[in-house]
Amino acid sequence: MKALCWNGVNDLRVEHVPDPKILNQTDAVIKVSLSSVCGSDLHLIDGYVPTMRAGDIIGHEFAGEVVETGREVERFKKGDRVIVISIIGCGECWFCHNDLWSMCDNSNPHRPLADAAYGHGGAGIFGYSHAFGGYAGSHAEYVRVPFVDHGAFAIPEGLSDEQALFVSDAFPTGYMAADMCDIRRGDVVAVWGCGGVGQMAIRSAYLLGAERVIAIDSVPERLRMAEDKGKAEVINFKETSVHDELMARTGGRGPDHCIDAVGMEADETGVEYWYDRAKQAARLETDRPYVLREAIQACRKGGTVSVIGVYGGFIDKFPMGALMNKGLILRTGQQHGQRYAQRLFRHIVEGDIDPTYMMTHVLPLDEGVRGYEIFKKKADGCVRSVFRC
Amino acid sequence: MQSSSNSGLDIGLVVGGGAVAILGLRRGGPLGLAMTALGAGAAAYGARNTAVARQLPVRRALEAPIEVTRAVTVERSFEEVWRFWCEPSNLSQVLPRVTHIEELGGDVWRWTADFPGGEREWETDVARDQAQRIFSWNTRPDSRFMTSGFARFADAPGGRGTEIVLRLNYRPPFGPIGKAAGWFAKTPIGLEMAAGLSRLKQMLELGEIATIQGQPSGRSAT
Ligand SMILES: NC(=O)c1ccc[n+]([C@@H]2O[C@H](COP(=O)([O-])OP(=O)(O)OC[C@H]3O[C@@H](n4cnc5c(N)ncnc54)[C@H](O)[C@@H]3O)[C@@H](O)[C@H]2O)c1
Ligand SMILES: [Zn+2]
Ligand SMILES: [Zn+2]
Repeated sequence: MKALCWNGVNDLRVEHVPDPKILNQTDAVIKVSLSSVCGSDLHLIDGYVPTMRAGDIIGHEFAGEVVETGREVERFKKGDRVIVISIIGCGECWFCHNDLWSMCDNSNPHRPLADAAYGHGGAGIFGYSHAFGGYAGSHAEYVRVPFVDHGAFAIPEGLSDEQALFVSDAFPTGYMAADMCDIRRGDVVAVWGCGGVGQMAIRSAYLLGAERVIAIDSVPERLRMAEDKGKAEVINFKETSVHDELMARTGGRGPDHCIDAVGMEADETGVEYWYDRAKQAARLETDRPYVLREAIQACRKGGTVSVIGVYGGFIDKFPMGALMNKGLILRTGQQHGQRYAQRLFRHIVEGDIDPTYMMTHVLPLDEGVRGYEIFKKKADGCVRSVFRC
Repeated sequence: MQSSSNSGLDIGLVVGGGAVAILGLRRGGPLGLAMTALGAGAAAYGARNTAVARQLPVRRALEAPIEVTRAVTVERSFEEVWRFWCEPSNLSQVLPRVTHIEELGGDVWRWTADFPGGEREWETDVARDQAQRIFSWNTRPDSRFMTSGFARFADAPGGRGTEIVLRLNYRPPFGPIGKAAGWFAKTPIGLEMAAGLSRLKQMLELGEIATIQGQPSGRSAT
């Protein structure tokens, strides 16, 4: 089959690889219909996520059709149309039983490796490095899905694959970012980053009761999308001081909740950019925590800083004093899609939201490399490139 | 031993070791893996409680076997875990390197395992104390090398199943130099023990072991 492989920093290629097969009896093989790029892939492509190996198939946000099931699969059969959650949960460990799916104890075959780095390693993720299990990703004609009974969700009658696709990753991620804020009536939520995850965080904040959402980015098309589709007020961080602007718009209180939907490769302005860029290049710091610092500084006293953007290693000049003295709540995590999938499908079915608008570019898998180029450069208004496989 | 009384150094080892481990992960490849192993080893060395070691006279510290401990919680009852553990074919399926365990009778087990130097066999006495929830083994006195250990089981709080503490003791040959080498081996051995416990947990919780063996990649390109 054809698959999009990572071969090194900024080196992707569409290659011919063997078809996947059932390896455990709880697996299924899915014929991929749609597979989306994600900001997380950029961290891989730019070389900020360790333990990638040349030849790894990437991609983790996908929809498709079940073509083969292991003997112990109960919920799915050949022909079922599904989306699959990007993070793999076994469904049987304490974490899965407690709806903390991305912390699954059993789905990562390389746990000890990840334990060495983090103390405790997390769940396996499709196409997302060997520290996260080394599972082959979904930018391919077929993908093997382990623990399919827990990770796949049937696409509801009446929804297209396009409408359902983002329930795999971007939607539950944005939703969880907002959910972690414990939003109350009248709350103002600020969202840094208007990529797919930020767009979904904006919509989710409203779905969960926010009164106002303020979105921050510098890409004009993405800001426009946040305004038009998300009904957010926007701030362009390249044009104004984000902090001053947030204070002006919240009567000096600061947003009640701040969502970091940018992560470790934040763009910064001025001296701070060069400081963090230099340290990152010299490997003295692995991540650029600009947004995190800004969010902590801006957040209302006693508010929530919800970190859904991905960080991988160490950061520098973390404003612990501000966090502590302002009594902020710091919430984090990889997304627990299995917890949210049905709820999000209901929102789509009931017409509260149709996430299809993020699918700005649809290309054949053969053009995977170009799809990533457009996405990475945020060219031509791209929010998500989606491959038809 | 003097330097390990310096808690600044220990903390340095923990943080620095952790950093080297992560940088090793970032680098990848054999060198990266070595960095990760060394970094994690240094961190573990720094983190262990050095007070006990400091109280031992130096000679005894050198003679004492090296000890590695790993622990895991399995969401299953003690009875179920115990039954699994006492069955040699289960253990040989999950323990690293061990390919076969044979019960010779009289509570003697013969272990067969694959090592870089080739296959090795040894015999141990085993003691199963279900009442005290401890399973221990010890190489027979006539063995060429010494290894012993135990698995201790306890109920996890909040109905979270069973906690297993696995301890491995081994005495490397060749005196102090062997001891130093043995210290560095602690990290890979610890990683293997952790991998073994993780597989054991998966067998008990899932009845299968998560794997990527046999999946496609550009490395197997046709
Ligand atoms: N936690 C999870 O489970 C999970 C799941 C999916 C994605 N993610 C992470 O979420 C983050 C966003 O993903 P995405 O797909 O939307 O990525 P994306 O690359 O499409 O979007 C990131 C956006 O952040 C903007 N940005 C950069 N610097 C900024 C700054 N200083 N202030 C405000 N905005 C800034 C960029 O212009 C860009 O529009 C990534 O870190 C990704 O890895 C996490
Ligand atoms: Zn993603
Ligand atoms: Zn699990």
